[in-house]
This record gives sequence, C-alpha cells and structure tokens, in this order.
Amino acid sequence: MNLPNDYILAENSAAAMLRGQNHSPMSIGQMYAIAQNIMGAFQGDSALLQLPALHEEDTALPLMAAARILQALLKSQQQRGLAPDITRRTCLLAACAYAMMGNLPSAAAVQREISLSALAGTAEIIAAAISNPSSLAHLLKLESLEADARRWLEQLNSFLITGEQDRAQTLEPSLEVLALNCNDMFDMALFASARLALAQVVYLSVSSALKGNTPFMQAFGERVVEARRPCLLPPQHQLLVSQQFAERHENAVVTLPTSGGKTLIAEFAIAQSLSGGPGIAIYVVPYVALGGQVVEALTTHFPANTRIHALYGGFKADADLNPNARREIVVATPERADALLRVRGLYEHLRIAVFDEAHVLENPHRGARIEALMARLRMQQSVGRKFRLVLLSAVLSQVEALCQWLGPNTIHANSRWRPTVRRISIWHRSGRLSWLYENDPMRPSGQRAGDILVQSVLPWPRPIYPTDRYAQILAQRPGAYSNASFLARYIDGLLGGPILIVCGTKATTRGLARTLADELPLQEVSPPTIIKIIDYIQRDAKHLSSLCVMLRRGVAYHNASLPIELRKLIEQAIRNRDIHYTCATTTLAEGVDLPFRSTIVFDWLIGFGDRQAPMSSLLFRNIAGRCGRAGEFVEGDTILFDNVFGNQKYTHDSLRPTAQARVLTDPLPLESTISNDNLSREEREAIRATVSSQLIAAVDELPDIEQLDEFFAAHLYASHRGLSSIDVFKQAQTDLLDDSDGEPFAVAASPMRLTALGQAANRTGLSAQSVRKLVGFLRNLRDDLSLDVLAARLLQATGDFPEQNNATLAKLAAGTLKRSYIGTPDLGTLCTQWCEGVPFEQMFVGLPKARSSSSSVTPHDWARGSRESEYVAAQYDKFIEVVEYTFGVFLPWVFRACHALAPVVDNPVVTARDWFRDAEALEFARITDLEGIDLESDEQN
Amino acid sequence: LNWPLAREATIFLKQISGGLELWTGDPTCQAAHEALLAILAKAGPFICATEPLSARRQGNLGEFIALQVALHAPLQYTSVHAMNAFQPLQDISNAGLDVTYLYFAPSDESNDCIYIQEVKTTGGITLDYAETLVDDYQKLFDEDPKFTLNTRIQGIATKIAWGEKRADLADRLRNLARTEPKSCTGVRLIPTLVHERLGTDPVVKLLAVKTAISALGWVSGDIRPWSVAFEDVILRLTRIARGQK
Repeated sequence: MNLPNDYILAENSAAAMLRGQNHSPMSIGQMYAIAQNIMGAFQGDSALLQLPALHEEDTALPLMAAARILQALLKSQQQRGLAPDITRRTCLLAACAYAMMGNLPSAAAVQREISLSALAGTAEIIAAAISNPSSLAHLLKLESLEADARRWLEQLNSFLITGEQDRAQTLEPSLEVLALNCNDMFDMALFASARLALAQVVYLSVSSALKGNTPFMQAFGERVVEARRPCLLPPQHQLLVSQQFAERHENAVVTLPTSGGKTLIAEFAIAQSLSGGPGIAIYVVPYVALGGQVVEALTTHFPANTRIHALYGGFKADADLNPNARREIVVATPERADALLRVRGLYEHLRIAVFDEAHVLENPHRGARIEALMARLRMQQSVGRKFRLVLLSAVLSQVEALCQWLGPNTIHANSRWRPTVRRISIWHRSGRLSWLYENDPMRPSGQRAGDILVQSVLPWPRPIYPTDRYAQILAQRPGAYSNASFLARYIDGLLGGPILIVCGTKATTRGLARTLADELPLQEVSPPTIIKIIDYIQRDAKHLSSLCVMLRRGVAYHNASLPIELRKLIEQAIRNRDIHYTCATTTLAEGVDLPFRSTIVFDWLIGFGDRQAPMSSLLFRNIAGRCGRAGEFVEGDTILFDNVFGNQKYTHDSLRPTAQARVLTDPLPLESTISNDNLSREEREAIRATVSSQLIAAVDELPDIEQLDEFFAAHLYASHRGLSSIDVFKQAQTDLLDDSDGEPFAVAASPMRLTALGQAANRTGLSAQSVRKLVGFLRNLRDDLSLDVLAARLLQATGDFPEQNNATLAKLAAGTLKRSYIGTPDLGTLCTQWCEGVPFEQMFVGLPKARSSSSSVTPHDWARGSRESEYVAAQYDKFIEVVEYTFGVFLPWVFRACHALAPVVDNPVVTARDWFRDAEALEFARITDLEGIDLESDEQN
Repeated sequence: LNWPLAREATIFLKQISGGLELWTGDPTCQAAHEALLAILAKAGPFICATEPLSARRQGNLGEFIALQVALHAPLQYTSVHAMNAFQPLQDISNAGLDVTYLYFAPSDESNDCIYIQEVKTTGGITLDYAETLVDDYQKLFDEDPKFTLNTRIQGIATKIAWGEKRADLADRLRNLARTEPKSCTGVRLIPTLVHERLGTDPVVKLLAVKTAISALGWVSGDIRPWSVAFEDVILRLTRIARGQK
C-alpha cells in the first residue's frame, strides 16, 4: 500500500483553506489527488483484513485526512459555485472516505450536503446507502432505483435488521457484480471504496453484535436498529463486542470524547444488567435537559416490558417502582436518586448505577452530594451488594484516581476515536484570529497543541481596552457586543451556521442578540417554527416582543428567564436550523444536544468581583463539545472571544494569554469538592450540611459498620486524591450524637444507630442542623395556617439553610436583599399566585415595588412589550430565578421534610396537616422550570 | 477484450518528427479505410447511408482509429480499457475515458506503466481543436473526480480485481497513481489528433500541445503526441460509419 507522504500537510492546508487562509502552496488539484490516492490505497483486499485496526487513529490517519480534505474541498466547491454534478461526486467520495474508516456519523453528516434524490445511477445510490445506512428507508423509495440496485439495498436492509451472517456474505459478491455492470470509471472507483465501507457496516452492525444474545438483549437491539441506529460506532464495538463491556460486572469509568457514544454504551450495560429479569437501574443526570435526552433514548430503545421513570427536581422519594416484579430504569437528578436510595430500600434490587457527566463531581454546588452518593454506593459494594457503578464523561482525561476509587478491577473504557473534528481558536484583541493545532491527530510532529494552525488578520471593529471598573465596562459593552457580533457573522460566512454564542449572564444574552439582530437584514420569509414562536410571544409573553424582531433576522437568545414553553420552541427552531445565531447562558451550552456548527465563548471569565476566575477547562471542554454534533457536522469550531472586561489579574494584556491558556489546557484530574479548601464560606457550609445529611443516610444503610465516619471518609473520592475529609465527618458525627438540644439523631451504640428523630431526618434529606431548626419551627407552629402564610413563614425560617444554594432566596429569607423589586413581605402573595397559575409577568408587575417604581420605563410598560428596559429585565431575571426555585423546588422539599418530621415534633397542628397536599399544590400548579435550577445564577456569578 | 483486433495486418505507417509520431494509412489512406471497415463490419451495424455523421460518432470513430493505431504501435501493453473506441458507431459518447493501455512488466514491477490516450478528431485545417487536448489532461489533476487520474486508475483496477480476479495486478496498477503530474513516473501521455492530412501542419500544433501539457507539471519525456492523418477525413469517417468504401 503506497500512501502519499504529504497527506498531513494536505489536511492542514485544507483546514486552513476552509478558514480563509493558504496554509502552504498546495493546489486544490493536488489536495484532491492526495485524498483520492489515499482512498485508492485502501481499496485492495488487504484493507478488508484490518477493519478493527482502521478504528485506531494511527492506522486510520490517512483515511481521516482524505475524508477531511474532501469535505473541505466540497465546501470550497460549493462556495465557488461549481456544477452540482461535481460537488455531488466530491460529497459521495468524502462520505465514502469517512465510512471506510467506520466513521458513519460523519459520512451521514457529509451526505446532508446533497439531495438523495439527485443521486445519479446505481453506484451513487449504493455508495450513499452504505456510507449512511440510516438513509436506506429514503433510498428504497427512490423512483430512479434500478431493479438490481433495489434488490441489493433490500438485502442490506434485511441484514441490518436480522444480523444474519448468511445475508452479509452475499452482499459483497453481489456488490462486485453491480460494479462490473457499470461502464463509468468514477462509478467503478466508488464501488471499490464502498466495498470497504460495506465491510465496516457489516462489522459494526448492532443486530450482528447481539446475535445469539438473550431475547431481551435482542429485543433491545431490534429497537436500536428501528431507531435508525443500525451500526455501532467503532469505540462502541470495541467495548461492547470485543471487550464484552456490557456483560462484565466490574465498575467502570467511560471517558469517550463527545459524540463517542457513551450513552449507548451505558444503555447496553443497563440492558444486560436487566436482561435476567426484574430489577432496577439508576441513571443519574446532573441536568434536567440531559435527563430528557436520556429518557427519550431509553424509551425508544428499550422493549415495552421495561419501565422508564424520569424523576427530576429536589429531594423526593415518591415513585411508582416495583423492582421486585418489573424491569425498572430510573433517570434521576442526584437529589432524587439520593431520596430513592434512602427511603425505598432499593439496594437489594439495584443492578447498575450510571452517573453521566461524572465530572460534575467537581462542581461546588452539586459535587459534594454526588461524591457522597457515589461513596454510599461504594460502601454498599464493600459490604457485598452486587451491582455495577458506571461513570461517564466526555471531558475527563486523567482518571487514575477515579478508577482507584471505584475499586482495583475498575475498567477504564477509553478511546481517542471521535467522529467529529474539534477546532479551537482565539480572536485576540490585537486583531488576530488564530486556530490552534490542539490535540488533533493531524498535528504535525514538532508542533505543540498551542501552536497556530492558521491565523487571519481580522481587526476588531471597535477598539476596547481592558478594565475591571464597572462604569468603564458599561461604557464599552456596546462595543464588545458589536465586536462579538462581527465575529459571529464572519464565522458564519466562513464556516456556516448555526452559531451558539455562550454568555455569562442573561443580560449579555439579550444585549448581544439585540446587537446581532440590528446588524442583520430582515428575512423575507419566516419559517413555520419562527412564526410559532412569534405567535406565542404575542399571545403569552408580550414583554419579550423585542425577541420577535430578532427572530425575524434569524437571531434568538435563550436563558432561564424565558418561559419554559418558549425555550422548547426556540430549541425546536434551532434543531430545524431556522435560527442562525443563538446567544445563550451555559445552561443551553451544557445541557441540550443541538446542532450548532460553531460556538463563540463570549465570557471566558466566570463570576464577579473577588470570586471571578477563568472558566474551568472542564467547562470549556464541555461547551466546546456542544458544537459539531455527530451526524450533523463533521467539524465543530469553538472560538474564544478575547473579552477584556473583568479582574485585571486575568484581563491585563500581560496576563491574559496565560489565563486563557489555562482555559484551553487539558483538564487536570478531578478534584473532590468535599475536601476542596478553596471554596467560599457559603459553599463550605453547604458541604458540611451535605456531609451531615449523607452520614445520616449511611447510618441507616450500614447498621453493622463500626466507626462509620472513618469508613465513609475512606470511601470518598477525596481519599483517593490523597486528601482527608475525616474532620468534616467527625464534626457531622458529633452533631448527630449531640443531645444538648434534646433527642440526638443517633446514639453511639456499637455501631451507631439512628433514633426516631434520626430516622425522620433521614427522610428529609436535610442536615442535622437544618432538621433541628425545622423541628423548632414546627414545634412552635400554633395555628392551622393557610398555605400562603405558612409558606412565607417557612421560607423565612428555612431560606438560609445551607442545603439550598440560591443566594437570592437566602437574602430574601434573611431580609437583606437589596435593590430588588421582590421583598420578604411578598412571599405569601407570590405563593398564592404561584398556585393559581398567575402568569409570571403579572406576578412581577403586581409586586408593590414594581408598581411604585419610578424608573423611566415602568415594569408595566415593559411587561406590555411597549418599551424596553434592561434594568427592568434584569429585575425580572432575578424574580423568575427566585420564584421558580422557591416554589417549584425548595418549598415542596421543605413541606415533604415537615411531613417526615411531623411524627417526632409532638404538635397536633403539625400532625394534622397534610404536608404532602401542600407540596403537591406547589408542584402541580405549573410546569416547574427545573432547568432553572441547573443554572448558576447571575446573582451567584 | 472481445473486440476484433487487427493485430496481424499493417494498417498505419509511422514517421517520427520533432518527437511526435505521425501516422498515415499504409500504404494509402484508402487502404487504412478499408482495413478499418473490415474490423468494424464484425461489430456492426453501420449507420444508414443517408444519416449524417454526428459529432459524437465522429469523436468515437477518432478514438476507434487511435486504438487501432495503438494496437499496431510498439506500445508494450498488457490490456486496453476504453468505452467509445469499442463501440464507435453508437450515437452516445461516454465522457471520462478515451483509451488507457496498461503494461505490467513481466519481471520488474517498477517498469509497470499506464498510457493515457486522449483523442480529438477534426476536419479543420488550422488544427486548433487539438488545443482542447490540454484541457483533457488538466482534468487528470483537477477537482472533478469523474476525470481524475486516480479515478481512472481505481476504476480500471476494480475491473481487473473483480472482473478478471487479478487482485495482484490491481494492486500494482493502483501503485502507479500519484498526487501530482511530476511524480507520475509510471504514466505516459499520448495526446492524439485525428485530422485532415492535406494542407495541415500537425507538428507545430502538437508540439504546442505538448509544451502546454508540460506546463501542467508533466515530464516532457513522458508526453508523446500522435498525429493520425487522413485525406478528406470527415468524408472518410462518414463513409466508414455507413460501411462504405
């Protein structure tokens, strides 16, 4: 096999060409020839013998280069207006090149560039079907399909459904017959490439992989195929077929890159764990939006005799589960999973627990609970429970400690294989737009990750200087928006869209979207999805009228202040590619899988004041992973906007490159949140509360363990990072045993046992200190209060609990919230309005301070959509954030806690009250914006 | 190859001038005419006597004649691949491949070679039409994969591997593919002009063509233009197509 020796240079040239630059003096014809030459080198019989090797980067590198070169040339041909016949042929070659190395998602993404009905002749149709088997249904309907080609496609279809090897064995010979019947050299060459692609399709077939497995697994496989996923990705095949990952029982850390197919691997492991019969699998998701995607996948793929439960939100154990008799899969937030495990005694039936986005372990707000929850599961394994723990992450790179934590035989399922290319660039204040080599496999030897692949001179239209002074930031902000808008339009022209612009605050999403829209022309015709959004705003959300103007120009913003229905409509429009530019907070960037071609990170500094710091490289990687979705695109570009506003220790010209390099670097090993000393006082208190609550759970779950505090601390991830958390556990244990305020939570028998108070506390999910406060409140409750009055009093009593991490609510409860329309006296009214389903804008303008506002634009005018005001909009942001969390999540949790504690407070008023009804009155009043709680709010930032 | 080849009989006579091969009928144009008719008669059917010669058939016949010249030329070929040259009387002209000759050296693979022949047929006196040969060779390293050298080699290699079950030869053929003209050490070009004999100067025109092809990056020594000249070429081609002497 003779390969051209300059294919890396050619790939780099093609990548540079796509980005508007000449990388080297290499002609288009030469690049084309290099790509074709590589494909030719893999058309012989020898390539058929090395299919699995072609899933390894080193072996597949030439084909990867060929595919990328052809894809770049295709874009170039389209931009230069070459004849459709030529671009179609280039497209088919690019798709075949991807398929030859088993990268079927990218082959499918390339094929999106052409209309399948324009395919000319049998060879092109067959090649298209092989490169993208999920297009078979469409291709079989083509009228232009000749009889022999139809028969062949039917054979392929039949194999993909049944997995029968007999059928597979007829495919290649009949493909050769079809090839020999054609006279065109291009068609012949296409057939030659398609043969290797066909071998990949057969090798990667889902049905084939599950042939001979249990009926349950086969039924699962059938549904996966029916859902138009007939083939595994190479790393999935390697894990599931070659390494029998699903059948094994060891814990595992799966660190495949974005779009590497982690979820399906977890699904296989879940299916296998439930294959033998009833039981329960828990899939923990940190974001509700991600949960929605997982539930959709599970519902589609699992047979009807499996029940899928979506359990999101705060601490709540309610669920219709029967793992004794049914196969149950629970997709839950960490809080719901925690509650289920404590209250429902599920360990006996637990077969597997999957933690998606496991790097959330490092998140200051939620990491402690997740770490402790995993530690509880590890402790259960230590005492002999038989279930499997699987951690998934696309962004972790150093996981030795994580694997150690999960046990000596832990499988680290890893692969560098990724279907799409990730490109990173920085648009510097100096006017240089620099794309970096990063860790791309096409980086030439001698070049480092931070070295420049291609650089353009693109001056900032509006000069901006670094500053951390608020007034100067305010004065320069329009200029920064204008620059970012210019960049977005430039990237769109260069690479195409849709484009996601990630902003640090809701206000920035609005401001940037407005600037972008002002610089774009009105679209002549609005697509139906856009008309639907506009209708919704005009009917139900007039305060968002300015968004209608933006939508007509292909721009939208997306943040937690928008009504949830509206957000869903916007997401649908993005899915349909009807919105070209979306300015969003990190919620969208981290959560939902939407088809963005490129991402611009406008704010690379997170937080405000002394707490401001560069975005973690984990977060940046996660955001970067959002663009270039597999199957939609073959590349995703993330551009860091060199934002110079903020703390000068990061934004000063001499320090900024170093700070930004930290953002772009490979993530370090995960840190344990519980043992992290570099946190704020509030965050430390929240961790102490979490530890207390988790220790209570552990006492109940592990009645035979002596010195539980030490046992628990030793099972934390922290202990495998060489850090001790024993002090915080000792303190928590002391609190549990403390009887100075009356009955303790536990008694120091040998081993420790929960008292009745402790048992009740365990059902609340709260810490010992918070339970004491709540018990004190309940003991003093004298009257059967109406819901609104009770809610207001409870919030004042519990709003400062460290377990809740909404800073606005804490200040509201403490009466220290300043410069806000919403005040402590409003809580009761808001509770009533919440339950009555009063629209949020109406609740907002009804606030006394809003009614008496002397601002130039009144909240009333703003809500009617007649005038815009960023000040009022910011007030509304804060209002929505606190109201949704308070009444949709926190207060129901507290009501349920009251129900759990009622038996131990000895107060007939408390005992007589139906706390569940109160909780449900809030929960069922409206669709709670559970995504809102995913967000690190502007206030906290 | 099922095509009736006239290997035994001499049809054309070669002269060398300025590095070009100048072919004419042996001993006369009419003799070549009649020999070609004899070959075509086995393939038939001819077009009817009143039907005019279309441009497509004219081109196909040019390729057919070039092929017949080649079959008598001292080319060391193992096999020939063509489309229009094998079916010159059909009123269809397939784009993408005129004639390709493969040579697999019996003892030393490094001597394997492929000849790419592009053919133009013209009745004009200026022979300007020959200039379009340059475009054909430019396409070998351009960006429409229908016409590239790599496509041509891969297509033929597929035929050899799957049709003739000679995967070994297919691999050897693919090894001849390169990524730019100057590195194509196993490729020879035969730009061929079938043209009017009387009043024309093919040497000047074909040397210009050779120079232009060299400018594309091809090594000059690997380009060997052919002139195939007939008296009253268009009338003669029309008569041949009709089966007339």
